[in-house]
Amino acid sequence: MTPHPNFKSSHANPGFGLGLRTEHYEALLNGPNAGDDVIEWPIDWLEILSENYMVGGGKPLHYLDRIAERYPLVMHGVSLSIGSSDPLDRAYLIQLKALAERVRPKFISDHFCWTGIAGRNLHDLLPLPQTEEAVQHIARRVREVQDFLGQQILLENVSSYLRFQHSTLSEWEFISAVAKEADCGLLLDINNIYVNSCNHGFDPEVFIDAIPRSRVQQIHLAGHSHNGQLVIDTHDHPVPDPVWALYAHAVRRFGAIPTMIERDDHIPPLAELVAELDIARKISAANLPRMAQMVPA
Amino acid sequence: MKNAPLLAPLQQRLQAHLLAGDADIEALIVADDIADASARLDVYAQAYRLRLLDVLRSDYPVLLARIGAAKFAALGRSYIDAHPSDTPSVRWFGRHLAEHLRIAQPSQRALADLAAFEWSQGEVFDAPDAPVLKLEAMAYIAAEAWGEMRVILHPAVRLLTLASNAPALVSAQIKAKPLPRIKTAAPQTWLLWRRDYLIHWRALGVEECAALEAVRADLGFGDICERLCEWIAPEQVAITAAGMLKRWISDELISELEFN
Ligand SMILES: [Fe+2]
Repeated sequence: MTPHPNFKSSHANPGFGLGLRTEHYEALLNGPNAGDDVIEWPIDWLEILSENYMVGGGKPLHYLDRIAERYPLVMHGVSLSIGSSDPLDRAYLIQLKALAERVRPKFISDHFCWTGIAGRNLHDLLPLPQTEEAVQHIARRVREVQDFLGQQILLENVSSYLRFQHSTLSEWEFISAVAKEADCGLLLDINNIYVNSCNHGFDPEVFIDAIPRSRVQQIHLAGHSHNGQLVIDTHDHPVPDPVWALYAHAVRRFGAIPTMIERDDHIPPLAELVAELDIARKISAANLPRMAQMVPA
Repeated sequence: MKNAPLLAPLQQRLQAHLLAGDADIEALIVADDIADASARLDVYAQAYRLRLLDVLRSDYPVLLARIGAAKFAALGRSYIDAHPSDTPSVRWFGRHLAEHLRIAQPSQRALADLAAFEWSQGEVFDAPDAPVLKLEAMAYIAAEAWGEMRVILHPAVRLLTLASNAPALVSAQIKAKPLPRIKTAAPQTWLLWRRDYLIHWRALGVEECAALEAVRADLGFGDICERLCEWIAPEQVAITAAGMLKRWISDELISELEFN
């Protein structure tokens, strides 16, 4: 296989990825030109939704293995429920570790949220009170998870539609405190920062400027929808201009961070997402601090 | 804030509110110029049901097509309230729908069958992988080994008894043909299996059904033949049973043959 010409544009940074979706399995394996003259898609890595591959076998794991032969993978979960007051789900952690052994991901991530208590799972990223109690609770559990997996994890800031009266910390103070206490990484979702800035009335650049540079290891980009007064994180639209602008700001602060586009609904052909990824490449290249732009000869 | 709730009671109250609307939690939520507390809570309450309804729609596309979006949504909402999820993956959320239909709509037995058939298809789709036996293996079975031999089914194999024409609806949907009416029928056991990552199914005759049930109960091949004597003349039993085994192996239903 010959690399796609766009591969060059990613040399100055650690790469641009997409979320792996079943709709794109065949396109990913066939390459952009069906037929003999196959070249690779300019996708540096793919992010899988971990729970989708916690099955016995069949097509999901078959495709996972074939795609893993061609693309580096990272794992992104939704059911760790790191903020829940239930005990950690051991059976889930065992499945997560087994999948990590199969996939050998560079990153394993989940969210700053809880998904249920008393054994229930609401399959939603529910909001946490931003309190010192929650920081300590989550940090303790993150350390336990990292010990079990033998790998640092990343936690992602979520979109939220409510805040609790008794929160004593801002969201940026809260996630930075957990990352420091637990020694975990951060997955910054730029769209979620934007969505929350609209829903809770803050300056999204203040959020980004408060996050410690060394903690950010991955970036998500996505689109959203408007529902009355609130902005909803629907992942069903292209990345909109205000999110691109905020991404440029993030690149200026954090430098070259692995970046991907998430699309969960109204999934377009792969070529369309690859083109959108090129926008991210260009914005990143144009906003990287000078030093990071220098490529060794 | 005075009387700030600790994490556990806060989560209990929010969860109770989202699952059943039976906890008052508005006083704990920040209301501002952008939105009041109840609008903010509603985003979560609505998203919870819509997300799970979407999961059911994708697990039961033929049931959805048969009864229509409105009835399916009503069924889905009653299911969501009766069977809140307790698994990390939404993959398993819908597993009780056939049972729920049987209880909620006892006169609609055939619809419950359709749900059971669609759920079984999902089980076949991502059941664990296992080796499949090649037909050549039959040539190496020593004459004296047949009686004690055990047949190990591939983990994706399912037997499902239905008293309706549910499989005909699924076939029609796959071929993009108009769905027949759903109706009850005499009980019939169906064999479902996976081959080349595709789901297959066929109706079983009473002899083959008895033989596969005996295989599943881990009986030796000799005992399976004995069961078949109920329908088949003794001098024909061995050749008939060997013929069934040959077909199962060709269809990739068998993982291995075990000899003591
Ligand atoms: Fe995200």
